[in-house]
Amino acid sequence: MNWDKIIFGAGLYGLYAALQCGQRGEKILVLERDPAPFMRATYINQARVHMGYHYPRSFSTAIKSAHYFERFHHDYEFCELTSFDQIYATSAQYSWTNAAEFRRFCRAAKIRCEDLPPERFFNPGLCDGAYLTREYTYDAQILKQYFLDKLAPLKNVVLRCGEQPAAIENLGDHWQIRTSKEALETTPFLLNATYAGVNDIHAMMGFEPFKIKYELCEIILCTVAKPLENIGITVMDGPFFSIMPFGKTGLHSLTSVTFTPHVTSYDALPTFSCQQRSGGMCKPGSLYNCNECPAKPASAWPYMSQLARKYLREEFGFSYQGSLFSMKPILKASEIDDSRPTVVRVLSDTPRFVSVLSGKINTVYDLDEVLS
Amino acid sequence: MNREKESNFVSAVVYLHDNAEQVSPFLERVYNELEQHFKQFEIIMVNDASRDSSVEEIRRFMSQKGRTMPLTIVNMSLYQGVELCMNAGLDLSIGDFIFEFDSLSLSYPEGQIFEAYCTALTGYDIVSVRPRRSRSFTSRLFYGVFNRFSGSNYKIGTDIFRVLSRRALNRVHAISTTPAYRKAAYAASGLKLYAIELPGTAAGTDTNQPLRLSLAVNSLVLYTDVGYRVCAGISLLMLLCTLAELVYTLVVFLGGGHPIEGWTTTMLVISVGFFGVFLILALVLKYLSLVVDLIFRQQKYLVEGIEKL
Repeated sequence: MNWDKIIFGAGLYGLYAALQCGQRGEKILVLERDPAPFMRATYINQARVHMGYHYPRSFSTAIKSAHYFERFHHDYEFCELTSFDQIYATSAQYSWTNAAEFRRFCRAAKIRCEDLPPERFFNPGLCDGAYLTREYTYDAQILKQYFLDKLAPLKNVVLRCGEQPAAIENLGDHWQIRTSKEALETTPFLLNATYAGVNDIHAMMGFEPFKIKYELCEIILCTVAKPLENIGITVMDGPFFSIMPFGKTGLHSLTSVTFTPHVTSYDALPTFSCQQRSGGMCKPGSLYNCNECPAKPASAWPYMSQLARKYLREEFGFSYQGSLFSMKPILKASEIDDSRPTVVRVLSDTPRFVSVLSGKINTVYDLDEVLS
Repeated sequence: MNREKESNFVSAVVYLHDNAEQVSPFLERVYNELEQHFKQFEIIMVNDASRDSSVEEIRRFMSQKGRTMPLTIVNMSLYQGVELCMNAGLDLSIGDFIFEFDSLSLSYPEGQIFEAYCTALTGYDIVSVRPRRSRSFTSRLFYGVFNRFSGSNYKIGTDIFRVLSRRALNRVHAISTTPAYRKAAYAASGLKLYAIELPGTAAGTDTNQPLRLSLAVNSLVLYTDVGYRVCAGISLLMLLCTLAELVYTLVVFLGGGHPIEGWTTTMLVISVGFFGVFLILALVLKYLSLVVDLIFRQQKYLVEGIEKL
């Protein structure tokens, strides 16, 4: 069957593209290998709607984030939790930034940054600055439902879960895709929004891979003591941690720079030792859902909680609820300046093939330029 | 032995400087003992710009063991001496209790590491393990002077290693963020300390001599009042001398003695002048000691604990 566009991956980027194009009346097919949309990185991350605070070493990323923050907030406020205090703090030691620099950065980027006494939250000597900021968290499940509800009446958009491309062929002005369910689909426009799977698709089609470092990441979900309930805390910018509300779930997510990534791969097609224990479900060139995988690692809770407890004053207690695992691709160029650019790359004009890779939810608008 | 492992998280912070051949036996001992007694631990090796294969030795050890526990290597940019390096390691550590190994010395019986921890649990924030006798005359002299003037009940000495609680570390940080001399800062922290003394004399560990000397002087100045007392004593003594000289000159002058022409006036000028100088010096010293106190000790008082009856 012929489609105007075929989209790989039903994460936020995939469904956003499907909705944009579907509303214009285009015939769209979305293929998702998991049994449902939003089962990987869109759901399994800190759920932060980035304002730019995270990138004191990359001014351009910060400015762009701040701009997209407002737009995302305007469009998707219904899925956001906004009623909590987001506290950023700079660690006194081992941080790549310090209190004065962070203040200057916020002023330059024109984002909110009000001084708070660090002793109110942290043990003595550990943080040299604490700031009340404006940042929200989104709830992936509510966002998913929104997209599904919007897509449901569109007869021209088809979402097929549990199905993935098995072979892709260039027919001159069309791509022909044979799916894992032996269906044959053709399209002049292919969008690769598979995030961690981006290079898997490139390999299948013979395109050069993105230079990516892969990290298997763990997000810990916690219940928190009363004083922490309406507070999110992020200590940056170095080997630190963040504990903040996880959407509207009532839980907090706990992550740390040193302990969240469990294993790392620098291969173009990521290779991990745990793949051998996955019962054939995961292999280089075909990444399975880490959160569903039988070979997912043991939780780093003892370490992450210890790190957070070292910093936080005793009254800000929290306890373990569960863990979520997901594969996170990081563009290698972004390690030094810590920027997280959204990459939208047109790899072929006719037939068209576009790959998108972004680590942030609110830069989804970057897709607009290639969809028109 | 099948006893329950401790659920406290412990960190071992280790100073490393050109000790390649000691790395393996040291890690073997510490690793085994921690693994045997603790559910969770971490080892932080602070590499003070070693020029030998120390770091490769660590990697080799870890690959042999098969990585099960996190070991972090902090590589210092340039040689900075044990105090700064250990502070760097301590800042990174996350344990409830922290072992400080200033050297890779193994001159203590097996089991001593856990024993020190158990002692800490009985109510001591800082427990140090040390030989009964210091290694050298200069060390003994330094510790002697220090302990005499520190005003603390706790006597410091040449420690092989020590255990401290997170509470103690927080306390020391509240007093000053980067203590110039940890041992002295711990002794001055006002918390409960305990020293386990082992028979024998400390094995010599090589530390940089000029660095040691300046450290010794700094810590005497910062953590004791010996400097102030010596200086104030001297200037008061000089003050008295000039006063005596003044009196003598006056006696000679009024008593109608006949010294050489001009002697009296010269002596009057000199003694009055020096009297003023030493008086000002004594006052300046007092001010200086107050300034050191104000800057260096951010907390006014130190409490060991509060007990309600």
